[in-house]
Amino acid sequence: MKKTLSVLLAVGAILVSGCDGDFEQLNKDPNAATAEGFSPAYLFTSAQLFSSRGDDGASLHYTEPFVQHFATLSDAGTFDFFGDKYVYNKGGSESLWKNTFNAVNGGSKLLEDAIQLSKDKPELSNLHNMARIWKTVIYHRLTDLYGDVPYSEANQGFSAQNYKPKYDTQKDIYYHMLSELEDATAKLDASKGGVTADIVYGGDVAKWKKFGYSLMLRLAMRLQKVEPATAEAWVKRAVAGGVFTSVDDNMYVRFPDKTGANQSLVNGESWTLSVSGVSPGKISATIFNFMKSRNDPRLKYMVAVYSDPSKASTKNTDPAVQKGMPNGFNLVTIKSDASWDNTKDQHQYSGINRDVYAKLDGPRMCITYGEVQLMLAEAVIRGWISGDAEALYKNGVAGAMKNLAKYDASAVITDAEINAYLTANPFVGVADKEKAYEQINTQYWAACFMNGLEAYANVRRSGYPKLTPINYPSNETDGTYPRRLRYPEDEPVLNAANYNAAVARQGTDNFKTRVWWDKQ
Amino acid sequence: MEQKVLPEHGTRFTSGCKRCCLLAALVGLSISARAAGPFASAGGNVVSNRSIGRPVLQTVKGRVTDEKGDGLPGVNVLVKGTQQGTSSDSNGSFTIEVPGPDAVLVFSFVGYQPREITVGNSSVLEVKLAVDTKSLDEVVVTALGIKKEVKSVGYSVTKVEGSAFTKTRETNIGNSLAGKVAGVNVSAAATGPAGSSRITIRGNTSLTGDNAPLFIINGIPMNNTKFGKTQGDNPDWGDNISSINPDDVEDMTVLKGAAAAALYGSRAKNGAIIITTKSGKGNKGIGIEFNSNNTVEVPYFIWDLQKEYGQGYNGVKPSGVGVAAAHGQNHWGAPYDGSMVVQLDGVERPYSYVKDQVLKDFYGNGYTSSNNIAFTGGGDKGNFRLAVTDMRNKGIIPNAKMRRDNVSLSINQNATKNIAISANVDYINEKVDNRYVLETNNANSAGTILFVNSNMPTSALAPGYDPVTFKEKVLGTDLGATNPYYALNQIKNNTQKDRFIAAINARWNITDWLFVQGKVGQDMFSYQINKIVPEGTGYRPNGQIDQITTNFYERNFEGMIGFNKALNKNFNLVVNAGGNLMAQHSNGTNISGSGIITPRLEVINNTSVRNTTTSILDNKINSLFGTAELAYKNYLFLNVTGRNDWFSTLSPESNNYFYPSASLSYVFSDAFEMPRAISFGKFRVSYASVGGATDPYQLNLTYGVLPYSYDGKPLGTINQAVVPNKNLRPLSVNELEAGLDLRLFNGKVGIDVAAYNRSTKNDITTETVSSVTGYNGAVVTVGELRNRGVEMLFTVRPVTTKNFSWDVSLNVAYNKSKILKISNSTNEFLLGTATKVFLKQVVGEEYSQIVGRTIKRDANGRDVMDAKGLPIVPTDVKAFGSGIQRYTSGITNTLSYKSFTLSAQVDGKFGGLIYSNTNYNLEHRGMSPRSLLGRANGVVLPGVTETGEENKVLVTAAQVNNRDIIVRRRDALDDYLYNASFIKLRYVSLTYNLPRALYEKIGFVKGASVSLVGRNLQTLLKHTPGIDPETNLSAGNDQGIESTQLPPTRSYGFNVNLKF
Repeated sequence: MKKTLSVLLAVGAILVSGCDGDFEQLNKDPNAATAEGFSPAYLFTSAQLFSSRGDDGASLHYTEPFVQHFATLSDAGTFDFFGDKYVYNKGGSESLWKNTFNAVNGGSKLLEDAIQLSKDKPELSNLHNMARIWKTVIYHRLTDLYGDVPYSEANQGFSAQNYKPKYDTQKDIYYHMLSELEDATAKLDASKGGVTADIVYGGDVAKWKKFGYSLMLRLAMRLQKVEPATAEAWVKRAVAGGVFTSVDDNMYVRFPDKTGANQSLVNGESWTLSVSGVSPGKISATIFNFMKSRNDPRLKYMVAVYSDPSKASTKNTDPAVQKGMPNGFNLVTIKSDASWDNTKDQHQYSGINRDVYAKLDGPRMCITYGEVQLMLAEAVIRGWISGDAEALYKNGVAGAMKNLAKYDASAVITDAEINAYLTANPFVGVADKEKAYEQINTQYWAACFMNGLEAYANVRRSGYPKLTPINYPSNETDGTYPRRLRYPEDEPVLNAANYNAAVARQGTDNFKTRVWWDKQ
Repeated sequence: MEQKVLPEHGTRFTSGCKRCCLLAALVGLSISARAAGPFASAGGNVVSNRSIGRPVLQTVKGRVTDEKGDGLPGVNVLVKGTQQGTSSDSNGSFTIEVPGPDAVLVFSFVGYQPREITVGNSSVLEVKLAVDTKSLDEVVVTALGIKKEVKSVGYSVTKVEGSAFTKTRETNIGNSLAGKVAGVNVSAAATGPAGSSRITIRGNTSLTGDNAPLFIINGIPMNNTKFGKTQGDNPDWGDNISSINPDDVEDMTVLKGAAAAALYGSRAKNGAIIITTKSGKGNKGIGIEFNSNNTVEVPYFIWDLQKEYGQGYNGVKPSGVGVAAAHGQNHWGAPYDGSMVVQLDGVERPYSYVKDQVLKDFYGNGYTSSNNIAFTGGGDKGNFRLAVTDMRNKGIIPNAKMRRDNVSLSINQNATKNIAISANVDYINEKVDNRYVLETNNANSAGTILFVNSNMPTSALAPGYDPVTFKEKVLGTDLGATNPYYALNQIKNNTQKDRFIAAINARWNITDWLFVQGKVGQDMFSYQINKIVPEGTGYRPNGQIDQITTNFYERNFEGMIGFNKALNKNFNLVVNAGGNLMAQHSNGTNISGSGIITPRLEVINNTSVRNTTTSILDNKINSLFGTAELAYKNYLFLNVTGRNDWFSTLSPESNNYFYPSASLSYVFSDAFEMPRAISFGKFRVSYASVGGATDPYQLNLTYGVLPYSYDGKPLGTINQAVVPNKNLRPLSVNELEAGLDLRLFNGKVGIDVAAYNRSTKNDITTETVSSVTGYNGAVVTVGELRNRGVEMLFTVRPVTTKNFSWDVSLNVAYNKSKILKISNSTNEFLLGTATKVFLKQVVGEEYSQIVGRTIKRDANGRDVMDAKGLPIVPTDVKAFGSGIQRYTSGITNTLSYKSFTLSAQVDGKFGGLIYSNTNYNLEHRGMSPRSLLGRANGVVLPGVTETGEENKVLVTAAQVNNRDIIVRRRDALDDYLYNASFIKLRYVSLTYNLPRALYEKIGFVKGASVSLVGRNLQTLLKHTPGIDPETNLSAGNDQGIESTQLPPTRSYGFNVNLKF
């Protein structure tokens, strides 16, 4: 039996020698960091980048044609610029939402963790407050496009195990965003150092303050129709805080990869407009004619005919051949339009000048000096603040024109050109306020070219310019102007109660329902 | 960030005491096994003395023959009451040492009645075995390789002989199991010859986790990774079961229920399939076997395509290149009239239907050739088998190729009289080029060849690129739809797999009733994917090259001690106990290179941005187990097992779980006198609890940085897309099974019935959550589901004469997987989607529900129309039914007449649904016959208005041609959802065995046969117009969506087998 026992021990020894002491250590991923050992600044950088790209389904394909900056002859049966026909496209309609809320690189999720991980860390207070301001950038776009959206309970899947986030009312969101802007901007402190992770201003606290107040001005103006008193109060606070003072304050995100080798590091809209090559998106006749009839110096940098869009070499910027495409037509119906030349194909219409506006490393504008000046001009006329409306208007137009150089250094509009334009198109004066609002907000609309989300919000808020809605067969709005996009299709499935509550409160989930601030 | 903490479970098993625990437990077990000795002596028989006293050995020689007097090779010869034995050689001869004249030799061989012969004083025995019509003492391999007589087994076990896989084979042996075993459900996903196979036994035990059984090869758990499913421009990257070479399989034993597999603990929740590879057993001297199998796979086209209207939109054919480009896949143009129309490449061609020819031009025949040569040898002390197999396949898309080489070595050696050593080594080298890409239109040649305009001839598409710039000749403005010839000629993927599976086993029979055994095994592989999308590709203009490498090993150390002893006249006790250490490691590198720098140089180092991600996964399970079988009078058997597993992937507070089982087998035909008709009858019942753990790193939230930066600024990221959960605990599967095994009329009729109830608790599920949470899902551990089913196996031998025999084997199984609970907060879980359809787990419904919208109908089932005369499709969704078939069945007929054997299998599945995304796509592109409705003159759709009156609103031709009807109807699933039931003639083989007399004249030939084989020959029943109901898009849990544009194939060929 001794032999038996020794064999047993031998077998036992074989077994146990294979068993080492690191059993529990095994379950720690050697390639990952825990919250304690990780800098939230890295998350902030990612959040800035990823919330500035990836939403072109909504921004480019819907809102740009909605505001008649772009047009297309693509049918409802094809896959681009759905906003031209007011038809529903799932991917397009939900793209801003899906880009905001995304488990892998959703800007709002990364930002939320950056905010939480920098909280209560005095040495990271500037980072923390910049992140809070950025949160407003993300959510105002989102709520402007959809209305009531998850806000107070969003991105809490891990921290609160909240898998059914409620939708906050747009009113609550706006109130909260404004107070956040006020608090976070006030708490920015130059003495606490820059934030090198910032890809917009390189962490310059002074610029961030101006940006915070400028954004506050935008949010305040948004409430003009629905709650003028609230709007007025916040406009005053924004102005008191100090808004943008030159085009060098403009807030935009620039993309580092001009080759396009890494698609995550290029301007997503530029990618669609230039690399995809045969993009059927053309410049809308509405903005084209607005600029052409006013001899707008921007137009020469803005448009180009590409007879074969897949070849950049077929570009033609000769002003004589440029023309805008009317909205709401397809390849058949366009033939009855006066603009159509039957000897040519659809590429007879001007597209966007890719070398200026669709560079892969080109900027994505968020808010600019020109817009700020135009908003101030309107606020003066409304009597909310004091100032010289005409001077503000002129600054606004000039600022919008100067902004082109931010897209490409060659696109410089000279002071002489600006003055000539302002002389030919003078301020209409304040006697007829509606006329002034129309002029100011139409310039705002032109200033927001390539910023479809903002242009669309301001068109809905101000009612200007007065765009003629299209009425294409099977459209979503019965030929009325679209007021919002639809929620993602998986929300009624995955978050039904909260989705249903939002729809019950706000109105049917279609393109016709108005968001809260867009009062009839 | 902090996370709420849920209550704790389980017991703590700290690392400090682990060694001691394992060792102590092992010693404890061994002592308890020894303790059985004194218990045994209580029966009055002091057995240990016999093993100490040295018996006088006597050598016995002999020959075993069949009834005709021909030598029977491979017959087991065992000294009764001991573990000592040998087997007969190729002539039937054997030599064995016996303790003395009282010794009794037991001769057993599958298919023959066993005989017991007392040696007496004769030293030469002539033993004749009679063909067994009852097969009562058949031996099966059970968990941990423990062999048991069928009659003692208290649960359902089915053995499939290796020969069932060789003649009418599939490239993935998993798919060959289809229809063979009651309760085994094989869904060959539409993935091509190199793709994955989905195998489940008795339904699905986990909502979202792995439902595949554990594969054991020669006693070693075999990895069955699925390398990635069909997704985007990625093909199905295959699985690891496909490594098995059918020529090397001796048999496969399917352990269906929890009780059968309980000894494997956490890994056996889905049952186990035990593969034994061939050995040189039963051979004397050197033998050579050669097998060659060659088939041609012929595609056939079953789509329903309209041939009346061509490219265009709004009823108009394209007027120019731009219009043609905008409608590269739209068939909403004018009626075909043969007039010259400019196409999207600018060339004018006749406006006529040419699709049939285009498909014929594109697809070719596939070929598969598999050649195997095996060398066997043996003697008194041991044997070996060395086999080399080369399998080559060419796909029906001409650039798809596959090659698999297997080298298999098996060695068995008796080191001493009592110590046996065996080793098995399998080396697998597999290389696949251009697996089929099938999901989106990116790189999907099968999709775009079908969907591109039916009036575009091959010449308009081929070669798919500009001969100078190599840029893709795109199919229009939708750059996502890759030109099929561009995909064929320019886009590439290839994979390489190198794999070793090795097992070494040593067994020492200490006495004739006690043994110890040690086993070491390793399955290791390296798998490399290389995927090339060249620059100039429409959907990825700058090009992209991906290189993914995975290295994996799993090591197992297992020790076991076994005790087998008659306690007294009536009781016999078998005890086995042991421990196992399992360690898994994998490391992976994924390099994604984008922006090809120098054109046409398609190597990863020629890309301007290379993002590298790496992963390391480690996982260990330590286990102790024990099993005891108590037999009473050889007709009542009680079997209990227990296994405790410790998991490294769970938190130390709750990382250890115990899995027990008990089963009872009652051979009532031996207990009582039975009517003559009943030759054998057994009742069995079992209960078991098994479980499963989870993958590494599921407990904590972690951060990392992306492989690229923003101008040097690191880009942070959150590693988990799924909310982690610290409090995960293993799921448990409890199963109660009862069964009846009857053999009637001298074994001519066999009936084996089993019924079971299997319930899963604490399933670890990734609950899909709204992306607003910041995550795709949350890991929860509260899921519950239930599988109930019945399995039946009937075997009938209507005729058995000298020259003619007829065998029928019919299996029928029913299983219903019902979801009882998903999580505390949700009643639904999303498994997968395609355009308008969702696959979901829904509480109260069967597994993998097909969910979507439906057309509004009135009480009489008529469509309800809106004011425009179009059907109303409300936005609320309904669950239509399960995408998994409830009934599986197969019938095999084997007819033998003299030297000819005809074998055929018909199998079918019933009771499931399938949604055809292909038909959806054909319809909305205007390609389906139904899309013709009203194109010429408009149509009044049948139905009623919302107020109940008959619909009279005309949908004008203009509206029809603007797709108004289709756009409305396609939101509902109704038009594309079908009953997925089918019956197929799976295979037919006709074999001619050369008569012995013929080859014996040649001398060195020992056997020869030639077979004609055919596979997937005919679909005898289906309800799916235009598609094959058996083509699920996925080999995962999301069953019920068809979205493959690949034509089905029939294969024909021959098999030659020669033995020397």
